[in-house]
Amino acid sequence: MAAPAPDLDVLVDGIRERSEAAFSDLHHLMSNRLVSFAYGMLRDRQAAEDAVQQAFLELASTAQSFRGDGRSLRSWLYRSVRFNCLDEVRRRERHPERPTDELPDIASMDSDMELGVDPILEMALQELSEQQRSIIILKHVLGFSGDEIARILGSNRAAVYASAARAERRLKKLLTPVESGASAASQWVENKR
Amino acid sequence: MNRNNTDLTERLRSAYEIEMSDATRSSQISAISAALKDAPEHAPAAPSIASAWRRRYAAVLAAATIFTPAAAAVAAEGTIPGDVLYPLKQVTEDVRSVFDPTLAARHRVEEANEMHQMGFPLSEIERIITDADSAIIEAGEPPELRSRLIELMSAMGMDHMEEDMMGAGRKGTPPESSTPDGMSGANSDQMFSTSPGHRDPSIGRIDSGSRYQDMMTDDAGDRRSMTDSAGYEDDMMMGDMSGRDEMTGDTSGENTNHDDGTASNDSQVSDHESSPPTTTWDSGGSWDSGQDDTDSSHDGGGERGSDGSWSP
Repeated sequence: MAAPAPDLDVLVDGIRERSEAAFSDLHHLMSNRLVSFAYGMLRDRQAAEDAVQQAFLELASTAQSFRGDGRSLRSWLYRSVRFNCLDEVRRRERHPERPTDELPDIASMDSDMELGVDPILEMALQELSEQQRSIIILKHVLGFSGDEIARILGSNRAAVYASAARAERRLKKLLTPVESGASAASQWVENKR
Repeated sequence: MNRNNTDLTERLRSAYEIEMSDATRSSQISAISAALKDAPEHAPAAPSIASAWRRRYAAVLAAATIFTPAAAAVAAEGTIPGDVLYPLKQVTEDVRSVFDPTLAARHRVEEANEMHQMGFPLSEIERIITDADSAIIEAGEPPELRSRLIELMSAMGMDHMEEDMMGAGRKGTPPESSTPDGMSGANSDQMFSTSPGHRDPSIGRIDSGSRYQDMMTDDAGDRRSMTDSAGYEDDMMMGDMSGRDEMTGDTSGENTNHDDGTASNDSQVSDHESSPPTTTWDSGGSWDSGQDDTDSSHDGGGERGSDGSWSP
């Protein structure tokens, strides 16, 4: 996946001047990747889209004070989305959804299935820490390098590589035994229902 | 990337690579445009570099305000008279003495010991010794501090001062035969302000204008009575007694000039400088009685016991 940094460099001045056109271009350029990242963290499409919108609104309010180039702008957006996702995770932990007597939301589950969500993979990803999950999504889904991931997470490259290696080992370990059972996925989906 | 990682990447992408619908995108862009219009045209400027530095300076100043006094107080703990932070040590000592009555005494003894180790002239250390004596009295005569002070004074060859502070009974009454001018025992008792085994702090306290210094600077006969025979010999070696009295500028019994005492002690300093004492301190405050100059300054026939006391 090609990095859109050059285009972002062109947009930075417009963003700083709070140009609507620049914001619209930036949104077209970044929203799909940002929402994929947020979805990887939250596993909730609506919440992921809300996190992305919140990041753009924050950028709109602070655009004049933005200093940096296109790469900085991209890192800023991912960081902002990540923080919004973490806020959402914490909010959910504080206010867990209460089970109701209503029927399961079959429509949303079908929607997830249409998106190609892999229940086994999702179960394995849940076993990772938030940091490891972020690194796995940024590396494997969005194709960022170690340097870029370190920039987004506010960490250093060595720590990112080490964390990525640990996360990959753990994922393989988690996925292998689950896949050995033919009915593991359907069993997990049944449990979720 | 090996095959396993490639598989993982493909699997993750197929699961999590999603696209925003056009409707959602349009909705979000509209919301962003509205936010751009609603926001003031001239939003508050980003914090300038100057204000950022001001905040940093304020933080540093606040930290310094909080931590500097504490750090200075800690640093002042090991100071000795003459150090810049010594007055601060005295101030904190006054406060801490409310909770620890022996603090001042311990500080003075430590200071005297440190000054001795650093080679200060005895005239300087004498002042701290007298302060230490006063502090020990005020602290209720803690035996460990008193014995440490005695050992310290012995190590410095200040036994004459030690006798005065302790009274005759604590170290054994100075033999009358040791007074060359044949001073009577009664006179000797008058000089040692407290009777053996009893010490009245209000009487026995020694300060800069104390009887001790008066005696030290009094006429030659009194001085000889304060010192032992060896001390007397030292005086004689220095020359004419009257000459020393002239140094004080006052030959009367009311002499309060300290110069004489200083000169006398300077002579002891020079002795020490020429042959440094071999006394060594260990952690328990005991001492190694390998010195000879200190012993020889006493009454010759005495022996130092293991507890630091003198037996004739």
